[in-house]
Amino acid sequence: MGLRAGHDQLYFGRWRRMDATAIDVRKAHHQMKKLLGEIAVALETEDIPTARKDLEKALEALYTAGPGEGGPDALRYLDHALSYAHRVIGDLLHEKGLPPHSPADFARWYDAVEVPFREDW
Amino acid sequence: MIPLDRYPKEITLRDGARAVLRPMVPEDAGGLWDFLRHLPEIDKSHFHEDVDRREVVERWAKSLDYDAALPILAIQGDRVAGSVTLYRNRTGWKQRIGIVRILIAPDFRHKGLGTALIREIRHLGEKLALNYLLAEVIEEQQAAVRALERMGFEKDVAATN
Repeated sequence: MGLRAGHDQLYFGRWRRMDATAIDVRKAHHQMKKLLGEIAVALETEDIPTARKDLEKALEALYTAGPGEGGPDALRYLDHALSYAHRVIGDLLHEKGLPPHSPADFARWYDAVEVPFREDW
Repeated sequence: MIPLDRYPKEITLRDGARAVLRPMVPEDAGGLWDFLRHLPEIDKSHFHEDVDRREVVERWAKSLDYDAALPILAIQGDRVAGSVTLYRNRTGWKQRIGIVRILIAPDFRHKGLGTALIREIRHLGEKLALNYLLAEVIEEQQAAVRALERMGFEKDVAATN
């Protein structure tokens, strides 16, 4: 799976819903770990120091969230990890001259009730 | 040492349009002047000089000094669509602080060009071993403020009239 699709699976994942279960959060934690691993592999051949730093922050947030513990703090840290991951993916796309990624463009592929408004600049 | 070997760098905007990023050269004076004079007045309030006057921009172009001010232009065709400039002090405790100013042509806004220029300047700041990047933005430019925050900048000082 590509990094963008991996990100979007989390972005639109059940763990972010009000009725998310502990299983949803554990699954999200596992998916996040996998995504960050794939990002790390993609970064190995790139000279993007800012992206490396953001990846470190994403991993730190993931570890702080804990392995699917649940609770508002865990969700918040998972959310932080996802934001850092998105920033790294953006850096990778920028380096390759590809257009920026916006999950909202892919909302129709997911069971997304509502997509937060995101204004690009 | 400024890492300029990455230029010219091609980028793609959200709408699929392509643009080239590269450092400004003296021959860009005319293009930059045309870009600056078509900016909204509020954007021009960043400058201490009247950028509607061609001679002002020509003077800048003749006195380019990348170590003090590194302007990276976003070019589409033969037109300047945006710019980001990194200002640095050569000496003193402020030499590890970079001041950033980003300008985008009105018809190129909300296409991801501003974010691309922020990514570019973060990269340069990291390569130049700067400890802090300080972006100067007018509060009315809320899209710019949000884009900077998404890229890790934190709102620090707000000066009001």
